[in-house]
Order: sequence, then structure tokens, then C-alpha cells
Amino acid sequence: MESAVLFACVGFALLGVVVSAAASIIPGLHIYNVIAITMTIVFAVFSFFEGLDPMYLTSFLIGLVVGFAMLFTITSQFFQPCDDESRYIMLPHEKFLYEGRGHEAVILGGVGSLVAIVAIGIGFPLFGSYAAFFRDLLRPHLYWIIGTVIVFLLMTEWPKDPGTAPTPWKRILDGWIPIMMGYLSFGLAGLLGMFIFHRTIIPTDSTFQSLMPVFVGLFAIPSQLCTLIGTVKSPKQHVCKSVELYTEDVVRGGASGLLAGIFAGFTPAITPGPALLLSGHATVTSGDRQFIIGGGAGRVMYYVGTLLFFFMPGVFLRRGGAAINISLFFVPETYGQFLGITGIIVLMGAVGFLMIFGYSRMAQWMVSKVHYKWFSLFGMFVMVGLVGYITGWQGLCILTVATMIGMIPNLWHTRRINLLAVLLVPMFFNMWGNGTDVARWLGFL
Amino acid sequence: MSANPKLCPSCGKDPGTPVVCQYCCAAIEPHRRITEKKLAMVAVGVSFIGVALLVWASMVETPITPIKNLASDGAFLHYRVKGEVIRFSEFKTPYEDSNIFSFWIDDGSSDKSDEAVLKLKVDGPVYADLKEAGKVPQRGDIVDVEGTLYAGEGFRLLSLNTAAMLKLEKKGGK
Repeated sequence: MESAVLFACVGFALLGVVVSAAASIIPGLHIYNVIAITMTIVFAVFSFFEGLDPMYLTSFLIGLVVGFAMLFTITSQFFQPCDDESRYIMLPHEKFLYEGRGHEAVILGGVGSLVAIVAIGIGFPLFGSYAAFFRDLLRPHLYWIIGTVIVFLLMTEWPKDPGTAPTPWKRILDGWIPIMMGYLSFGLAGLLGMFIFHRTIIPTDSTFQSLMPVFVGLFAIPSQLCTLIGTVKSPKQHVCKSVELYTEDVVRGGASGLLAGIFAGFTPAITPGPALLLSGHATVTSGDRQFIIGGGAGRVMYYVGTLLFFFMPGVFLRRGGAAINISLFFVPETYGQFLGITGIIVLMGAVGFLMIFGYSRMAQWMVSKVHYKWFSLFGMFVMVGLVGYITGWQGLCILTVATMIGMIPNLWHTRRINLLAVLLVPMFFNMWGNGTDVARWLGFL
Repeated sequence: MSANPKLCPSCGKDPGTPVVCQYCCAAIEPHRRITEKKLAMVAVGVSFIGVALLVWASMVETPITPIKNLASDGAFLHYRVKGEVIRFSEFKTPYEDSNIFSFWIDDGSSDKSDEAVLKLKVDGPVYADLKEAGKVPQRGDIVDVEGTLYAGEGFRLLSLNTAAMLKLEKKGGK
């Protein structure tokens, strides 16, 4: 690749990081939504972009994804404190927030992200060619791997009630209701997924974002609603200048996260959440720090590493919204392009990590000036507006249904991970070869 | 470290003990902690990996592949070939207002003429760019060209995706 093109690409990627930093302020806004807006603008003024090297727009989108993967959890950390009225499980980063150590949790997550960036920068150019081998090896087995993940998710549901009700019958009910509601949310999300995959009502010119209303409805809006109805007070935060960190935490947490990211990257319908749950069990991670570092590493490896598979000559694995959108206007070919994109990712990853320190302080400052509920309210309006603008009233209908399903785990203290059935169930049936038959049996075809 | 050495560097409260904070259980001793400055320096170090990759990207070239080695197992991959243009054709596409230019090159990599000859296809916009740059290959030219291989049973062709991927090595065209 020419040096001048590479320099320009770095500039476009930096611009992407800045835009993603601005977008990450809105809790719940996903980078794929930002990409959707970008693509809508690109399609509207296509004649302008037609004359540009497609690597420029690609680099901009790469910058968006890298910046988002590094930064987007920071505002969620401070703007959406968990409330025991709507959440049963307090995750380690939430525990840190309540101990006044939110900044430390952000930095630990950043360390995990940096581990993934280093792994991508060194591992992918040197060992990337093996990815094609693993892709071909796994391809015929993906349906039962997804099926196994489904079984694992369902089997690991457990009664969350402490069992203090006055009568045995009431205690049985208290134990079983959250479990059954978990299965119900899994079933409903699975049904919604079958509908979306086989008979979506999204207008055809918006089908490149057909999953957007589903994900916003299942995950983003319920989180924002719970933040709005919550009564919890976010404690004062201490901005630490150092963090407690050991090599063992970096290695074990990082390995767990990298494994999760790679697994999610190779397996359709698996996102970093369930992949981390699996890899955490597989690598026996322990402690809050390893969990947070693993989360950071898994997130970056999934969003960024998986996207890089698309640029890898001989692999061209198209996973995730970013790769799908880039493939609309650019077909990567050469090893030079792959190395250039890898270099840009590593550079933007380092920039993103350096931004974390200031970004976390800014988020804390913002939440000290404006009540956190306002951010969620603003985010909710932005998300609903975006869904309406991009997918029309049909998207808003799907959003409403998905939101009602998405509220079940919050209201009945069960896990939100069950909602991923929206992808797992249709992908399982489709990859098994029975998707059409099942959709016909359900009346969707 | 916290500004006040008596306070826990993690949560900012009075730790109570000199080793572990009684509130948040964080280790207080400096050797069990890493400063933001050191982490920032690590990130700067990581950025050098990115710069090195960009330098590598600016230097790397696609190796030249003998035409006889191009087969269907390499379909959709990127290849670079070099050879002499032996014939060409041009026709108008039925649905678009543009022409498709095709030319065949021989690199002499095999005694069998069909093994050493490869068809290269140049679609409308790329062909227009080639014409504008005065790089349309003619019979007898030596060309160095990169593109995507499309190959199956009984056919193989290389598709040129940008005009920059064709270099006229020797102008011997008629």
C-alpha cells in the first residue's frame, strides 16, 4: 500500500475514534447503530464517496469500532448503576462502582482491551493463516456447537430466591418462578428471532439493519427503563492514580477474554457475553480483576479481532455488523491491506487506551453535574428515534415487542443472557438445515 | 498513589490497615499496584507495534505466481501475475453504458499453451480509469497485474479491481 494512502487512512481512523468517543456518551447506543447512520449518510451522498479510495471509509469505520470497543462501557459503568429492584446479580465492575472504585474498574477493563490489541497486532499477522483451517474445521459442526451453548445456558439457570418464604409451597414457587421466567424469556426471544429471520417486516431498503430494533428493544431500552425507574444513589467515586494488578490477573483474565472473543468470532450467534461465561468456566478464572480484564479482552477481540478476519486473505470471515456494512462497498484483497488495517487497529487501540484515563474522569464529572437518569432518558429518545428513522414504523413495532420481552429478566430477577435466544435459536435451526421447516410450522412462511 | 498516603489508593477511604483496605479489600502497598503513568507508557509501546505494521504494509508486495499454478482451490484469492499480452477483446455490456475489456497473457510457465495463458477481465469503471491513464494493454506489452482469481472447472480468469493494480512493464504493443 502507498504510504500517502496509509497516512490518510490513519487520519480517517482517528476521526472514527473521536466520533465513537462522542457516541459512547449515550448509554445504550451501539456502534452498529452509529455505523447504520454513517452508511445512511454514505448512501445519500454516494457520488462524493465514489471518487474516494474505499480504504478511507473503511478506516473510518475501523476507527469507530476500535474506539467504541475501548470506550463504550465507561459511560455505562457510571451512568447506569444497578438497582437491586431490577437486578439480582451485581457484576464485579458494578461492585467496584459501589465501593467508589469505578475508575479502577474502567482501567482494569482497559488493560484487558490492550491485551487483546497486542494479541491482534502480533498474533493475527503471524498466525492468521491458521484461521482458515479452523473456519473450515468448525463449519460443519457449528449447529451442534450452538445447540450445546443453548443447553449450557438453560442448564445453568438457577433459583435465585434465598428461600425465606413462610410456607414450603411459597418457597418452591419463589425458587421456580425466576427459572421458569428465564425459560419463558428464552422461548419468546427465540420465537421473535425465528420471525425476524424468516419473515421480517422491516422495509427492504433498511434490511441491512433488520436486527437493530430487536437488539435495542431486548437490551438497550430495558436497561434505560430500569435506570429510570431505579432509586439507587451512585456513590462518590475516587479517582485512583494506581490500580492493584498482578501478572496472573493479566494472563488469566486476558486468556479467558481472548478465548471468548475468538470463540464468539468463529461461532455465529454467540456474542461476548455467553462466550465469556463459557471461557470463564473453561479457564477457571477467579476474582473480580480477572473477570473485568477478561471482559475488556473479550469485547475487543470480538468486535475488532473478528472484524479483522474479514480482511485476512484466504479467510474473509464476515462476522458482525461492521464487516457486513464494510462489505457493501469494499472487498479487501491484498496482504498489504490486511497489514495496513491491522496497524491502524493497533494504533487506534493504543490511542483508545490513552483516552480511557481522561474519558473516565469526564464521565465521572458529567455524572456529578447531571443526574444519571437524564443520560438514560436522552439515550432512550435517541435510540427510539434512530430505530424509527432507519427502520420505520415496522421497526418501532418490533422494538415494542422486543422491549416487552427484554423487561422480563429485570422484573423477575432472571438472567438477560437468555434473551440471546433471538440469535441462537434461528441460527441453530438454520445451520442444522431445518430453519425453513420450523418457520413454516410456526406459521411464519 | 493517592495524594494522602494514609488513604486507600483504590477507594480513597481510611484503609485501617497498612496492607489491605478494610473497606474495599484493595492492596495498598505500592509494589502490588501499577500507576496510570506506567500503563500509559505500555500503551505508547503498543503503538509502536502499530507503526511497525503500517511500515510493513507499505513495503509488502504480492509475490508473482506462475500462471500454471493458478487453480480452482485458489478461487477468490488475490494473485499477481506477469506476462506478455497475446490478445485482447472489448465488448459493450448489455445493461450498463460501459465496456468490458479482456486480455490474455502468457507467462511461459508451462510448455502447454493453455496452462501458461490466463484471461484478465477489466470491468467498465476500471477500464475507463485505464484509458484515462493511458494504460490499456496492447498485444506484445509485458504487464504486471494483480487481481481476484475466479476459477472453476474449465475456466480461470483474474479480475482487475483497480487501475493501479496494472503496471505496464514493457511497451511492445501493436
